[in-house]
Amino acid sequence: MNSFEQINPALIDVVLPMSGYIDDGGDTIDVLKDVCGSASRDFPNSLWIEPSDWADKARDNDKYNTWPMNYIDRFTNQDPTHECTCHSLTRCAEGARNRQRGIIFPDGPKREYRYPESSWSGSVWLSPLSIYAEANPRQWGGANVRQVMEIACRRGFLPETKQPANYAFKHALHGTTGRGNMNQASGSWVSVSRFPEGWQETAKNFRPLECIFPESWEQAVCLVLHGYFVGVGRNGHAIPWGQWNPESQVMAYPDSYDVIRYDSLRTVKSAWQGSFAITTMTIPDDWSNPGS
Amino acid sequence: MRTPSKNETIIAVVASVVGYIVSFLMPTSEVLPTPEQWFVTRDRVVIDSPDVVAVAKNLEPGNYQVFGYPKEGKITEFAITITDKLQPVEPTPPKPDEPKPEPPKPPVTTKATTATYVYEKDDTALIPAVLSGLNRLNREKKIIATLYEDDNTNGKNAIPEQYKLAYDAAKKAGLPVLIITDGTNVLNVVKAPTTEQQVWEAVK
Repeated sequence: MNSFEQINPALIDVVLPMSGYIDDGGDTIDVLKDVCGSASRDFPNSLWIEPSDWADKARDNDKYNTWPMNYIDRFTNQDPTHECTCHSLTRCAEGARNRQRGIIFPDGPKREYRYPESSWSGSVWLSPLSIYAEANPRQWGGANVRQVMEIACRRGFLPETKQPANYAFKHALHGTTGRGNMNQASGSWVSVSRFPEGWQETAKNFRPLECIFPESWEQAVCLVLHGYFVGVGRNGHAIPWGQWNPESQVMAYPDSYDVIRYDSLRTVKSAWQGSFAITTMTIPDDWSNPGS
Repeated sequence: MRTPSKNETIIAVVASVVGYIVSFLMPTSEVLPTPEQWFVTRDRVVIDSPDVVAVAKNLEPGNYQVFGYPKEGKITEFAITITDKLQPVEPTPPKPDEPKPEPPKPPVTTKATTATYVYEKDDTALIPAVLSGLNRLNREKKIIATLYEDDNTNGKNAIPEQYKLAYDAAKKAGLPVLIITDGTNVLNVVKAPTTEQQVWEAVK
């Protein structure tokens, strides 16, 4: 990946019709720390990088393919639902999990492409719908960050019915009621009461263990430079920041419409509050049997 | 090989002489008994040389010179003397069954199956080169090369089975550390690696 490449201006600060992020001002750092409970972590000093060193760190990430974007192997597609906050959340969770697994996807997510290594590396695709169904039982209207973070940290995600390998999960759920794609299962609306019986036993294996809440936009950039997705809501849409471009001063993110888009520095500076990074997820006793 | 004593040698020589004299007195048509066992000695030492036996059985007594002519290079030559005037040498009795020395055990070459970088997030920022090294181990050496943060657990809030061995070793060594195992034993401990090469060479 080349974080210094020139960016198509048409992809910067794209404002979509309401896609699910409820910006009611309630996603503050204190509230998020509270809802995440024991998973909440302060930004550690070890992760601070002086802004003057950001370009060098970006070159390092380019050389070794260690951007957050390099730790996910798929796009998701929510179109035309209001599931964005949960799609963004699953990017953060899958990225953290694959990073723990030690597997790098050199080109990041690619549209209509499935990495062969996803099948042997234990990559698990998590269902955004498994969180959204509880966050908003009415299906339409979206959810905010604190809602989905609380749900995920409390009981975890269900894996999707579509996976890169046959994990034989006891419980699974399609990923979205939206379009989906070759790496995301689509299906009809499902209320929590109609989840597969005993689903909690599987979901607890895919739960965030540690979440950091940046207290400045610079800390948010530092988290991205260290390979952690930063989930953020702004302009009615939630996305995960996944790569910092020092040249153009933009944040790249894998949008839940099978496409990479960018937030300008101005947007980053205004949107970082209420953002979060998942740094570790629960890990299995056996990576080849992740539901165990 | 036991060297015959002086008395034994004298007896053998006398016996040879007597045998020689008797051979003239005995009818030449006497049929010699078929040997039950052949022995070959060299410098009075019994050696195992069935090829010599095969040749000697079919030759008349005499001095033979053998020459080997290669296509080029030095000619190989040696001499063989076939004689019936044998120095009786007691063949060395077969040694009692001694326990055969065990062949040297091959060096233990246990194959690494896991490489775990154990760290505490609050103290250590992960190094891209190390992450790249883990990725390489996964892809090229086909071992499970992963990160393990100090607070990690499985879905049951316990240390995952696959990490117990590495985690115990890591806590003893001090974090951050790279632990290499074969699933049962710790094979290598590399404290605070900083380069891709260090990670790669930790697994040999």
